[in-house]
Amino acid sequence: MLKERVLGCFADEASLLAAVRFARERGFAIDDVYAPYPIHALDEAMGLRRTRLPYVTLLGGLAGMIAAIALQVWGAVIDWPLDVGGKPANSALAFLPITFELTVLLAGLSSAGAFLWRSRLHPTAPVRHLAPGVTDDTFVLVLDPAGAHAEAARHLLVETGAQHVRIDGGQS
Amino acid sequence: MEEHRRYWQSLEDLRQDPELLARRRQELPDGQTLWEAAAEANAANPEGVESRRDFLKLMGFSLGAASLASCTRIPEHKAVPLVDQPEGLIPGVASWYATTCGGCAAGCGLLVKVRDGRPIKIEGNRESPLSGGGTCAAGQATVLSLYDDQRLKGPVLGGRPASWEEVDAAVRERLGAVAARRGKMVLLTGTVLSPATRQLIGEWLARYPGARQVVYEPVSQAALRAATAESFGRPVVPHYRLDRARLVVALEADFLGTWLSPVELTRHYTVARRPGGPGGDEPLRHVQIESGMSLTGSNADQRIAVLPSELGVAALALLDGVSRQAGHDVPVSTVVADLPAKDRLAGVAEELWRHRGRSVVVCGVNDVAIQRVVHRINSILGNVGTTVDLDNPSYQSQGDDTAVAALVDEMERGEVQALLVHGVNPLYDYPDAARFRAGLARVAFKVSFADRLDETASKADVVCPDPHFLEAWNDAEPVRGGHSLTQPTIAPLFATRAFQENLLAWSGEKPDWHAYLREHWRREVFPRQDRYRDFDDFWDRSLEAGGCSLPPVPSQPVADRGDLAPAVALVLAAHQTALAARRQGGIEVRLHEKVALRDGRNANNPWLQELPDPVTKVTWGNYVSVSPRMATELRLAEGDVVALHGSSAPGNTARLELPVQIQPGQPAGAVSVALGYGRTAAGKVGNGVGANAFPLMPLAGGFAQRSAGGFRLERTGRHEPLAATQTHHSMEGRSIVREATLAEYRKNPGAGNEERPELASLWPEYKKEGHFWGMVVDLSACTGCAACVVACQAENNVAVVGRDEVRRGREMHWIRVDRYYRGSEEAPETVYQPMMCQHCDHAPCETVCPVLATVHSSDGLNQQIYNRCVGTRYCANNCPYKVRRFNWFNYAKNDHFDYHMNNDLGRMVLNPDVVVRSRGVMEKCSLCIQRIQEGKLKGRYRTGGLKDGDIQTACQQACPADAIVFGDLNDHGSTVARRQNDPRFYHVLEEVGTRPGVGYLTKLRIEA
Amino acid sequence: MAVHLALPFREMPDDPVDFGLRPPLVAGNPSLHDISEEVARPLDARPTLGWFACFAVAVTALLAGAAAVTYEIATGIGTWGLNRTVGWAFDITNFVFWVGIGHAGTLISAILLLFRQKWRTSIARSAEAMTIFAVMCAGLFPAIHMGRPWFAFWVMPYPNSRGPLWVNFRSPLLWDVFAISTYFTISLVFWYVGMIPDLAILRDRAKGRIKRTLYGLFSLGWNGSHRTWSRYEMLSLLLAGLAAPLVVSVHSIVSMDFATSVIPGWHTTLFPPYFVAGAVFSGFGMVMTLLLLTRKVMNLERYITLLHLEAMAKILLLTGTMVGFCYLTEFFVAWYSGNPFERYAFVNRATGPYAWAYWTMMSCNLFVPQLLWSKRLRTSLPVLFVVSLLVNVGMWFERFVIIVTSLHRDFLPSSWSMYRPTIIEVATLTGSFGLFFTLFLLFIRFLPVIAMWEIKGVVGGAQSISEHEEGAHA
Repeated sequence: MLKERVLGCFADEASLLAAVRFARERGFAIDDVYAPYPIHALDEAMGLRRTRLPYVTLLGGLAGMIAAIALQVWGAVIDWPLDVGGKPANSALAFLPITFELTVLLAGLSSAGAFLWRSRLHPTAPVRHLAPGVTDDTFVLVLDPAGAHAEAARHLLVETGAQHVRIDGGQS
Repeated sequence: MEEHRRYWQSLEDLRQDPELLARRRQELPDGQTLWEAAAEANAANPEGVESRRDFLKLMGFSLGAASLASCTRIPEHKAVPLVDQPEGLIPGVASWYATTCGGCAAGCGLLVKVRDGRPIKIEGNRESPLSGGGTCAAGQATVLSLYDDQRLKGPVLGGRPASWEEVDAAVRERLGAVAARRGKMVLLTGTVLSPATRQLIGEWLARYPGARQVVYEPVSQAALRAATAESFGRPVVPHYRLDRARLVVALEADFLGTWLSPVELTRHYTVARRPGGPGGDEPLRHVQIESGMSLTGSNADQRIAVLPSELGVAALALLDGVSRQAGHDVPVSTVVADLPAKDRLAGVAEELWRHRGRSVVVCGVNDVAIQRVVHRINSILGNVGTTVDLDNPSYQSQGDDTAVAALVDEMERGEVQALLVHGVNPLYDYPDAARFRAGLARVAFKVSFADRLDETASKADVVCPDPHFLEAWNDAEPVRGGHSLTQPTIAPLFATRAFQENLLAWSGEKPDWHAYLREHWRREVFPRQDRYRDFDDFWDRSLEAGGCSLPPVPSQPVADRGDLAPAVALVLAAHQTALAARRQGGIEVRLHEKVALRDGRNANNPWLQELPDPVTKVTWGNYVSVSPRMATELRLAEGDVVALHGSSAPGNTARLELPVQIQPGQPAGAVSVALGYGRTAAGKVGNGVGANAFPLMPLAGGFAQRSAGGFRLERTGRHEPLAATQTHHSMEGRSIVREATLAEYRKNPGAGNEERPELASLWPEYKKEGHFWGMVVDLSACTGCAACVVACQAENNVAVVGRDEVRRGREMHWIRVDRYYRGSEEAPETVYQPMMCQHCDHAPCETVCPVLATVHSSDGLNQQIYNRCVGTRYCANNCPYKVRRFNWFNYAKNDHFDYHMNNDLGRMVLNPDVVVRSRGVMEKCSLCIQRIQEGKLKGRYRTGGLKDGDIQTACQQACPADAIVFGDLNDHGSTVARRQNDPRFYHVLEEVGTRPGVGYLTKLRIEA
Repeated sequence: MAVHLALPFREMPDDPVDFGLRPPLVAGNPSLHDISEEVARPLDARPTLGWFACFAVAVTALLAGAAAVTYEIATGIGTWGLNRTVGWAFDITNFVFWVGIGHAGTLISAILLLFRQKWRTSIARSAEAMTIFAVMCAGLFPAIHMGRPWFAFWVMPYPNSRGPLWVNFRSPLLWDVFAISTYFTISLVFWYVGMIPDLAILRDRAKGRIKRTLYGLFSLGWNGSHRTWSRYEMLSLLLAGLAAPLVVSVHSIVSMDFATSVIPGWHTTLFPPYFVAGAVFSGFGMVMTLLLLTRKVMNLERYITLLHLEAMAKILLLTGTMVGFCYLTEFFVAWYSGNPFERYAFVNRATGPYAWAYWTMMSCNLFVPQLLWSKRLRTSLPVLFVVSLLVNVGMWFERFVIIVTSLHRDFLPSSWSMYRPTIIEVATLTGSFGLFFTLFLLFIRFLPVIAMWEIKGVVGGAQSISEHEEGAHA
């Protein structure tokens, strides 16, 4: 048996926001919100925690930097030191550009990777259409009644001007 | 396609003689083949399984067999190499043979490097009294002519390949017939340096009544010999001794490039000019009076440009001045009045007088009168007997123009019944070739000894191809007493037969020319020496050393007998006619030889065709050199094709179409055109390159003049860009070549070399331990003769790219000789600077290569790793000296570049120690790293180890002026190290901070 | 919900560079659905005749280039006009040119994003696409300019069986390898990530099965969850934050190919900033050209408005002047250094045999952009189009002048020579344009040229704000 969830569809950002805020005042747990574009106010309205993506970026960057330095020092100083244009084997200054580039590369790739992984986005991910046009122009608020009656949730959504409301899952 | 690639080595081979092929197949002495041997080996182990050991045994054997099989071309046992006497030949180790150069009639001594039976490199022989270890560009290139696939592979009878038996039969019969009729028979040869051959010819001619020899040279010193006969009663070419002179005045004689004996003269010249050399405190000063910019003129301390027609008067002016000084009666006081250069000439005369007895005047004008005037000058100065040696004369030019002219008349009259042509090509280079051709048509029987079907040979009834001099026995006596030997360094590649053996065969004797030669030496040379008692001993030692020098006769002053008045009159008359012609707006044409192609005999040699002319830097073809003033007046740009037409002789008009080259120092009113081009039957490389200028030569009194008057110049509207390797001629005020006058040098040895920037480095220097190779080029010694360029090309398998690629600026030479002018366009000062990879310690090329394909070795070499190179060309862009060369295409085995690297025969010249670079990689001077490695190895196995001078780069070895020195900078006693501490020493573009390993010594000019 | 509604009247600010939400970035406020429709419709409909015409031309050029390159690789670099003195010419000129073009894309998408320049939204997508295609063209040249391109992979540092055999980490060419590949990768990621929500929109409105599955695959199961949206926003910021310094580093490194050499005219510390400014300049020139074409060909006048174009015109004016200033600085430094080689190099540029190229560069890059001071000119489409084309020409010649005139007469006059391009080189250059436009035309044909979700963000936000104001009145 599925977990019981109540969906309400809204036509615009403002009414959605209002609904979200109202629902949280009433102590409803907000399962998620689906919108055609990112709504900045939602983060605090839903009380989302700030993503930790930046730390991934930082780590990725460090990894890239260390890899680059290791590669160049190994190749040019330890494994195969040569007299190239009379410059010392460890021409550290000349190693900077590559170090920088690899830093950026790994930082970028790791962030993107982490994002996809965390958001479970991948080519074969199942697409759940909660409502028609959810990616187009419909805003959907999904409430988790969490013990409280689904009816109450539905009521609340209708009050806040949802264009139509639906209850998924739960015992029939 | 397949056909021209495949060459055959003998007639049997050509006819696929089964019996021969059978002999080829049998690889083991007992007639076994390798397979049979393998079968046996298998039988030896019952399991029938070849053990690894068997395999290795067989492999080792087949390797050995292969290398032995490759020895089939080693010279006969009679030839003796210089350094070691191998029973057989050690594969991969070169042996050296001393021989005599056949490139021209100078007869320089050579050492020939033979690798696995193939001669692959020509070097100078230090033992040679003339060349003393030097060579010239043409000499260096002769080894390539050996592998010229245009050579005849066998005798030709009536236009078809024939056997020697057939040929002998035919020739005996025909010559017999002529003899029976007591008909005229003429043997037309070039200069024959070989006494033995001369003797043989004499004996042979004696058998035929009415037979005689005529010596023909397209560019001869006939007038000089005639004049010597008239003045001194000796029909010889004097031996000029620059090494004894303090002042040389050359009148149109290109003695550093093409005149008489360039290598010898260059050597003496540079040695005598070196401050502190034998010249002591007074080095040899050089004045050149000439009518066009020659290599020699460009090196002169003072150069006086006159018109060709003024040369005679110029000589008179000198005579005038000298006689005044000497207090003699002045034969010619008035004539020089209208000579523009008379004041400078007076100055020269004064100098000559100051150096009387220690000066020499040489003259390259083929005019008896002028030569007599010059002789008179020398004898007034008392040079005859000191710097002009008549007692030990030179035999290097025996051409007799008048005799040839007479021959042509006889032929026209149909008197000559048989003509045998050896070593000359009159149908190409006789001034009046048309008459010669007509005459030849009336000759009943024509024999040629040419090595290819050239212009003349193609008209002959019988062609008996002469072997290349590297395949033959011979001897030479370039200067009296200096006997040298030519020994084969390889068995004849083709079914050729030595000219001498032909004569022997036809006179019914045993055709053993080697025996004859040996016998000649036993009778003629052996008795005149006192070092060896036993002849065999003497012979072997002579072969090893390349010859033997008999003590010279002490040379005596000889009085200049005879009345000079007629000669003077002739000179004046000639001058008057020239003046008349000039008044009618006629242009004078100066005809000259070029260092590379000389009289055109080397036209099919791609190395020489692509060798930039030392002065003009133009390759692949000749051109009309006009003065800058004439160019502006006629609105001519370089490469504009002009038509040069006029009459060389009455009723004999000539027309020539060539591109223009603008030549500073060329006197206005005269143009220069090089001879030796426009061959039609030289071979695929030389045919149709440039235009033939010989028809412009006037025959005055039977002497082929080197200049003609009354010509007209008109533009054709066509444009044909010159294939020049240098197009900008000014140093733009940059101190690239630093120079000083002798006086300045005496005050301060570092004169002209003041800018020595203090260089800081961001990094600690690498330690210079063990060997650290370096090079120094003495710009004072370098004459720009370009011998080094060809030597490098031969040593390092440098590709020939052809005219179009040179036009695109893609020549591949690893060493080039930069030439800069300074001063006025009319009278420029010229400097030469050999430029090769400078092997910088802080090489800009190394830092930028993404794949480390060029790095620095611990012994100071900038190394190029071909098989790592991906060809970004970044290194070449970043090279301040622009010495790196890129393989834009595949230059080997590519039909678009159909030169020696495109056929099996031609590739035999390649140096196995140097890889042939493939398309898309960068290459450059390696300081002959293969020679360095070889030297280090030798040093390791010799007591005393490696000594200074053991390792010589190809350019250094070839240099007749000893301008290039290579060695170990860490060995403080070495010449190169000492020269790098010379105050004259500097690096080019020091301020860029590249810290080169190659440097230069400032050029010194010796003022009056 | 009111489509009719207009914004409360406000004067158009004089300086549109920061006009946040005020003036209509999207003409005539469409509904969210209209946006999807209008942006996506062209992708369903048969392409216009204009599109086909352009595509035909582009592909022809591409094929010509392919033929030229094939011939060159089969025969040898000798098929180009290079020689012992001039080792680089068209090849590296084109390389630097295309890298430069790329930069505007990153700049618009990343730097303007960081500065919260909302006007970027409708042009960012195509600008990024341009970056990627330009970098692809650029990357082509270092590969084919090699004498042995089949060994191009040797510039990669990889452990191998040949014993110690590494690449030269000191060589600017190697820095290029890393810079260009990083730049390409990051731009690609940035572009793709930015497109995921739009791909989802296309997926959801797709009729055909193939389209649905394809868009389905690439939209990675995007469903508009706000939890994802908020991470997504962060990711864009991070990528932008990385791309911004990256773009500066890339062209600085490219400029070091020259700056670190010893050749007079190359050896100058001015190059990094000079090249970056030039890159942005040329990039904006190209964006301008492309957008002027795209909005016509794909009927998107409504989204790519005059405001965008004018803003870009101003950037052109700014960067053009910066570049011009660099030209003059170079001359001053050459004179002031007192180095005879430097001096000659620059005198030779302005008066030597290649002076024509130099003055083409000067007029296109320094003089022509000055026209944009006038508002009338910088708001006239024809003028902008011509100017943008000239800027492209001028910037190509800048690289040609730097490379060829410096090389053809360097230290030793004995080696001075001239360079003339061959037909092969011209065809190769044409081919690179062919490649670029082929890719770009395919892009505008199969992918949303405009970031729908971003536009919706702008429009939706605007609407709700105004509705609130209305509500307040009521």
